Amino acid sequence: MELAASLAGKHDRYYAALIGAVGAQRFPGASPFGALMALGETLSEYERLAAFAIGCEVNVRLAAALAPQGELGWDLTGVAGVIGSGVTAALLLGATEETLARSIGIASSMTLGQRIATGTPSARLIAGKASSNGVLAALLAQRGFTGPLSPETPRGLCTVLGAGNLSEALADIGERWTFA
Amino acid sequence: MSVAERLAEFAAQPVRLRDDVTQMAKQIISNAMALALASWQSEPAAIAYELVESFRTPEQSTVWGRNVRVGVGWAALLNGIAVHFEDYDDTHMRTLLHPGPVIVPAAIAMMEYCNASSSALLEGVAFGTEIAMRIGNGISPAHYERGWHVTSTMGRIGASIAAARVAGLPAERIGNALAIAALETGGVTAVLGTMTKPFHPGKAAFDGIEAVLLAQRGIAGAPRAIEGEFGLAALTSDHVDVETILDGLGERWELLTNSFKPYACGLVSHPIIDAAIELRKRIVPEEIVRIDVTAHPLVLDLMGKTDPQTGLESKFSAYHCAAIGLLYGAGGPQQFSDVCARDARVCELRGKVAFELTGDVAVGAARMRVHDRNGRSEDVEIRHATGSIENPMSTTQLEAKARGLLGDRFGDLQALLAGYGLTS
Repeated sequence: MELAASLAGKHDRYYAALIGAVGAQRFPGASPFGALMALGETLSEYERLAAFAIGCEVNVRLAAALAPQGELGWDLTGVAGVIGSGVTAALLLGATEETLARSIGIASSMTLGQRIATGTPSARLIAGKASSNGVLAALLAQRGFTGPLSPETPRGLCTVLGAGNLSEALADIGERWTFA
Repeated sequence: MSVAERLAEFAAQPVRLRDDVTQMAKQIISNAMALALASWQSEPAAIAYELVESFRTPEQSTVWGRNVRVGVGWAALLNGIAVHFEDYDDTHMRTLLHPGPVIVPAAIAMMEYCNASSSALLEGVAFGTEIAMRIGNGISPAHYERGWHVTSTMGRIGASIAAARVAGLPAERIGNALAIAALETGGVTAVLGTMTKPFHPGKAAFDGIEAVLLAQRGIAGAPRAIEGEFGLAALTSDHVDVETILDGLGERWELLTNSFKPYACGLVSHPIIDAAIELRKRIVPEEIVRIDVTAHPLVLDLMGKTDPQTGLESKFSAYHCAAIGLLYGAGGPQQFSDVCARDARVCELRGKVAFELTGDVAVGAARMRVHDRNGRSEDVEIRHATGSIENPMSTTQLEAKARGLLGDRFGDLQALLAGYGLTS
């Protein structure tokens, strides 16, 4: 594939995520899957699956909450996927609650994807870039990087997208699984 | 022809740049590079460097200050963080884009990667800056007001154009690079005051370069990525004016309205520092009993901190700005350090500042009157702050700024510029 060939020879964690997610992109958990390919190689299978499942769950719930923005023209694979990947990546890095929150905040300022690209080769990048941006956010947060407090902070992601509060969409997370 | 195709055709044409455009490109480059040499050891730049080092990327382009090479995009990312760290770079007032920290790192990293000439570098900076500003004009001010960080959103596009021009891409592929960069646009102003703020231009430069590397290998984007339904403009602005983007393209250069920051703090207080520096020549700071400032209400909305405790807070204090201008006759990073924010003389003088706010004074203008203990008073009116479009910083003033930033390391800047075939 053209795109994979373009990225061949790039083997750092950022590109491991990108290539992993591009390969998996027909699957809704593509971006968290890219993070799984890039990080956590020393963890147990259970820990890796848990980090992946939680990232997928966040990804799917955010995408559902942002469905009106999807109708406006945002490609939710990119918008929600960055955060889903950031969650999986942070968990694979053994993040504390505080570091996980910072990963999400930083990731929320690296979203991408507009539906005008649908059908062009560039659209195949969206899941991959969402994945690598989430991985980058988590790696920076792990090293003490600061960023927006959350997607809902004033002038944050929800503001620019014209989206409401996300807490309702996340209310029963951990009790009910929606992605599988 | 779509907006992206028209802009790509413009950016691909063989051209000898006008002297004033070349001069501005050189100023943008040297100003950005001086800032990077002053801040490559800052916390966000150091954290990001440690991460990039762990990736063991190929040695392609230089990280300024460290004199090591990393992958082409990663060098741009690290240099971009360092340029923007002090928030002391350059601004396109109409869109609030900071071109220097995005366009320059992208253009130079690509120049090293492709072994391009210094004239290709200047063309890359000129076209990249011009196109980022023009697309920004077509969606401003609604784009920024919505909360988008223009240096991240438009910067990404400008970086792709700059890198594509340096790499010598044909028009069709420049258009694809632009469309890919537009597709990857994100970045919110909630980052202000966090490390992600200087990270934004770095990441935008990185993505711009990556977009070029993909376009170079034939990856196509959406031709109507900017103006189309479900495209960037419609999704990120409530008021889009496509004609503004293309109006007078190649005849009128928007980049000539770029302005350089003379002082290391928020822009609206710059005329206050100008006024204070002027009055310092006429009155003894220790004898001042009262400082009256007349300014636009926005000044205290944005910079109303009366008693800042850290250097970062002091950058958002118009009171601090008046005091340091009167005491030191300067407004560089030293005047906005943690030490200076808590300095007893500065704190005392800050307490003597009184504001009168009125919409009759323009943003970017101010009046100041100081009274001393002998009953004498002096006043001054600043109509256009230093660094504004009406009162731009000269090359001499920019060199003085770089000397203030770098001190006895000023020679490092000259050496770095010479290494890229440029003189300061």
